[in-house]
Amino acid sequence: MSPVNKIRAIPGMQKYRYLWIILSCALFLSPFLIIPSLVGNTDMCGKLCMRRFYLYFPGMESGDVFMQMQVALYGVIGLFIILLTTFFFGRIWCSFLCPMGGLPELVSRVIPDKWKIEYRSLPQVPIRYGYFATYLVLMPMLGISACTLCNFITIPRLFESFSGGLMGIAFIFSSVGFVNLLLLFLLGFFANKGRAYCQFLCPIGAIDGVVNRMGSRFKFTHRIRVERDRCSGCNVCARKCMTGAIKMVDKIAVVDQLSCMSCHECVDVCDWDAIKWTNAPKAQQPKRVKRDVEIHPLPMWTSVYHPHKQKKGLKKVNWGRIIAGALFAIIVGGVSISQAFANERNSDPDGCLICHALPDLNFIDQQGQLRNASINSKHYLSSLHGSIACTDCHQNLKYYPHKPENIAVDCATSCHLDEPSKGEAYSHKEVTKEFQQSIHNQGWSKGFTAKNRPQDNDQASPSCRFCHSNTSYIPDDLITKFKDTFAHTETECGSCHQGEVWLNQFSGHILRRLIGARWSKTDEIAMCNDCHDNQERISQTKRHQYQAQAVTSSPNEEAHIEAFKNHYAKEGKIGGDRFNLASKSYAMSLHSRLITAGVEAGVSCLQCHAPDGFNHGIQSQYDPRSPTHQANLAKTCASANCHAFSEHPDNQGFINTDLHSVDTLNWLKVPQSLLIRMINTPWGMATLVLATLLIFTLLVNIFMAMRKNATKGIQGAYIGGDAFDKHILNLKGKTKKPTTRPIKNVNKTKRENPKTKETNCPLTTQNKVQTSKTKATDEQRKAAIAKAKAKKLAKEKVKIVADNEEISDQADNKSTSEMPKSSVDAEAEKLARKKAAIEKAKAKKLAREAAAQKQQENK
Amino acid sequence: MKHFLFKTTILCLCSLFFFNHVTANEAVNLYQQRYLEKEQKTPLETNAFEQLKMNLSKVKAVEPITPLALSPFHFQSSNKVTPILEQSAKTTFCVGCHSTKAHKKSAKVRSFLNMHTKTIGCQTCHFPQKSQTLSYQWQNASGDLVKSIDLAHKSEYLLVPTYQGVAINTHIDSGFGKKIIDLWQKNQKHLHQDQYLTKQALLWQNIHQGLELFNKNPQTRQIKKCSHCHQQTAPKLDLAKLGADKQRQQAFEQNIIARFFSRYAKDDERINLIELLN
Repeated sequence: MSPVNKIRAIPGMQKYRYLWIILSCALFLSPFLIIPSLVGNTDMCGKLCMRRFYLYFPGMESGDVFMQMQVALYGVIGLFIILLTTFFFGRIWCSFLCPMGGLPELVSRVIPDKWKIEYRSLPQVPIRYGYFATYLVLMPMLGISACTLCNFITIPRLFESFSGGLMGIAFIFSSVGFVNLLLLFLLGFFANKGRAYCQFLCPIGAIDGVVNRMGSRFKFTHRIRVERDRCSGCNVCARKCMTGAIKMVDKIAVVDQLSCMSCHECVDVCDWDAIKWTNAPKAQQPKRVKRDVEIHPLPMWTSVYHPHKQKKGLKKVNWGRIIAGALFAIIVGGVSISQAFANERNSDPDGCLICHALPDLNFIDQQGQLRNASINSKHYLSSLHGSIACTDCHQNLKYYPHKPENIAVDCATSCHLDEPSKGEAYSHKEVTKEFQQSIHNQGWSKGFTAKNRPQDNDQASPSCRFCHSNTSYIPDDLITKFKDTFAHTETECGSCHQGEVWLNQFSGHILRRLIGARWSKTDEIAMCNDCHDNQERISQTKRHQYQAQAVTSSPNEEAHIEAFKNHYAKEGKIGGDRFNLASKSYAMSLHSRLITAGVEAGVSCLQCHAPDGFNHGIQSQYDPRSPTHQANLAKTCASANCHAFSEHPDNQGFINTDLHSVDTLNWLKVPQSLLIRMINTPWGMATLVLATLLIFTLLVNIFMAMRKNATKGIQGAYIGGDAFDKHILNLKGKTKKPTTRPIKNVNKTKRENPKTKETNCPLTTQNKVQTSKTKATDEQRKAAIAKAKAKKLAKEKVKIVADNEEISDQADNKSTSEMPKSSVDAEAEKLARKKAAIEKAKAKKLAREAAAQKQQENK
Repeated sequence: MKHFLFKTTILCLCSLFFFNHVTANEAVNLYQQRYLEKEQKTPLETNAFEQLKMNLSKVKAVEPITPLALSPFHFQSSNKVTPILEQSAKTTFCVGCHSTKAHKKSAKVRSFLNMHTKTIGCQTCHFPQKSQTLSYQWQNASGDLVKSIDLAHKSEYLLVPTYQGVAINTHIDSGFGKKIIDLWQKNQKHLHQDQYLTKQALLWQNIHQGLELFNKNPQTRQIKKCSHCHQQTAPKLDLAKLGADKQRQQAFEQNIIARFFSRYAKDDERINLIELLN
């Protein structure tokens, strides 16, 4: 059939359904192709995503419910609406609207059936609900995010990658991307009817199925129902069912309501009007009842059929916990900002700026380094250190020319400026102590300042100056805001705090912190990436440089530290792939991509590695003091009001999320060793397995197609087709196309007890009351029939003999040619014509048969 | 004697003829004249010459390191290259080899002197007036002398000495300049060979002999003193003519740093910083 005719042959209801699927794909998926702002946010539609229903977890308290719901509110409402419609109308979301299932389905319908894998014969219910339980309960406890296998992430992600620029396309080539793609192929495009994912893995499908099954108990709900009396057992509905929900039990179709998606395929192909999407109307009086037998029985549309037990009425169902969507929590907050104008803070008591304020005061030293001594005095005076005199830090400078060893500054120096809250001289000493114990302490070297100068370009570790600079109090882009805010301090704050000094120094200091520290999250990431994203530099960094010192003397900690040391001894001095690619792998994660997209909810490096109060002591994750150590991760994730539930012991899965997973990195850009290592990781292994399966499938299909076996029956899928016939259609051996309507079988199988072959039908011979009269008449009839048969046979025999004689006579007569020519000729001609006609007919028949056979073979 | 005279005249004429292949706008300035005069004279005594040759062979160009790995702690004034600096870098003879941050040796003054290269040309300090009277004028980027300027646009001009109305400023693009450069580079390639080294040493000598570099006598030194310009009585520069008003003149003449340095004659003496405020 030509494609146009093929399309015309699609039943009207199916066309309607395909249209809806295409529309929903266009609505939900096309934004990912176009709007780049969604890139990086792998949630489908963020808060709208339906899979956000997963907001219940063990340990949650009643108060927490509301907080979690506001996060997932739209998704929960969406799910609730879906379940409501499913209760009344069947799983029409799945079959009509869902783009995640609909897209693979439509694509797979383009591929011929035999090329696909037949999943429908697998035991769906155990697999689906077993996986669902694992998904809900076991996987989070093990720390595996099953969400990445869900089509609700897979398909948007793959669409998203086309609008995501290079990072998007690179995702397809990572381990995670490959697994997603292969799953889509194996469970979507190459699945027979394309709904394997829906039937086995979709959690919404699982819940939906349960609701569907429960609702089908009621008579008012619309479901796919079977009129058992009309079903002829022709198998066509079961073959067509895209979810494999119809099973032939004793040659009558039985619909599994846990799997049925109400897609109407079966309704469209049934010739017997035996299956319909309908409710079960109240039983009315049949037209006639005779001898306890209903004549013209009313259709009994059964949705659920239990051969061995029939239950009536509402069965008590264990509903479990159901969490519905609730109120919004409105967050009211705001910071009122007042502004200060940062005046010049302090004149220069030592007169340093007389020279140093001159422009272009510089020279090029022996190493080619430009030594610039000119300082922008205005900037300095409005900077963080603006109140500090030069000699407070450069304590050893007394003469000119300045001796090189006296120029350097030790950040641990305490200066003369009194820190107002403590009343002591302010110093960075504690910070330097913390820093010295950190993993970056190589930036601290002799005197703390030898590596602090710009000419020391080859530092292995960052020094103080690497991250900190002496910024102005208020950066230029915030100065207007600052000024506006400062206008208020005179009235509000200024009502108590009076005087120029306060206005200039303290308010500016306070306001600077209020308006925000200079580092934005983007800046923080850029700062760390300066070294950590520089492949040459970081891959040559020697990591094992210091001995972790015990902070306390507890035996537990010492054991930890021993383990830590041993780890480094094992790992060797140069960092492994995970360390070298930490920056890149983090950049692929959601936390980082939120920041790239300008969303403040994102997370920068420091928020995990140097959370509040731990700023300078960045440690390796194996050091027990580190906030990224396994034991401390929960606290870190819970800090800053981010993931408050991560501290709950049942929420381990959250903490086990790997934010530096090399599996998300593009294979094309990955060095060789990483490639091999990837194969050893779960994702890499999954890619390997799935890719192998896919290739195997294709090879089997190609091989089987090349074999010249004439299949007279219907060719199902090469893989799994036999199992489908056996288990679902209850057929043994290859099926044959039901070309004729087996009318005579209708009455036979009805109301027949399969075990004993007894029927209640009064019209059949075995149920007839056997009286002597009837017996006699039966026998008479039988005899009469036999007689008639024998007569017929005899007649035919005679005819044949006569014919043969005729032919032989005529043949003889022909040879003598004594018979009158005209009559002989006429008769001979007649014969000849007859013979010719017979032979023609024979030849035609042969040709037809040959053609039919050829056709069969071609099929 | 006759023969000698004849030779010299021929040579002079030839060299004059050669050097007259300059652009029409260029007049031969005093520096060139001195160069030509020096060319005929005898070289330095042997020791010094050998030392010079050795130094030349060891000279290595130092590539400035950019960008810096760490940004400086103190926010610095912009280090922009002004038009005149650019121009001078492109055209002026000295800057072509020495760059605008040429001062390295004296720890006391090197930064301050580098600071001045933005405003005054190298020859302003390094070209001594001997029998000639030099006057100082502003020169713009295209090489024209201008009378007085608005000091707000000081960055667009360079202060150069002039003699008889001609600025003492050699351009690289001039015939003279090109010749010197060619000669230098030709000998640069084969520095391991003695003859080339000698030639280059001679050339070096000729280039630098007109400048004030070899005067060891501190009494007769004409340069290396800030007070040469930054002084109240009889300064070298006619500030009013250059466009400075009364206030500016005063600030210039009473410059504190110049006075600070003038108290200390020796180079290696450490100066008490606190004295800066006295």
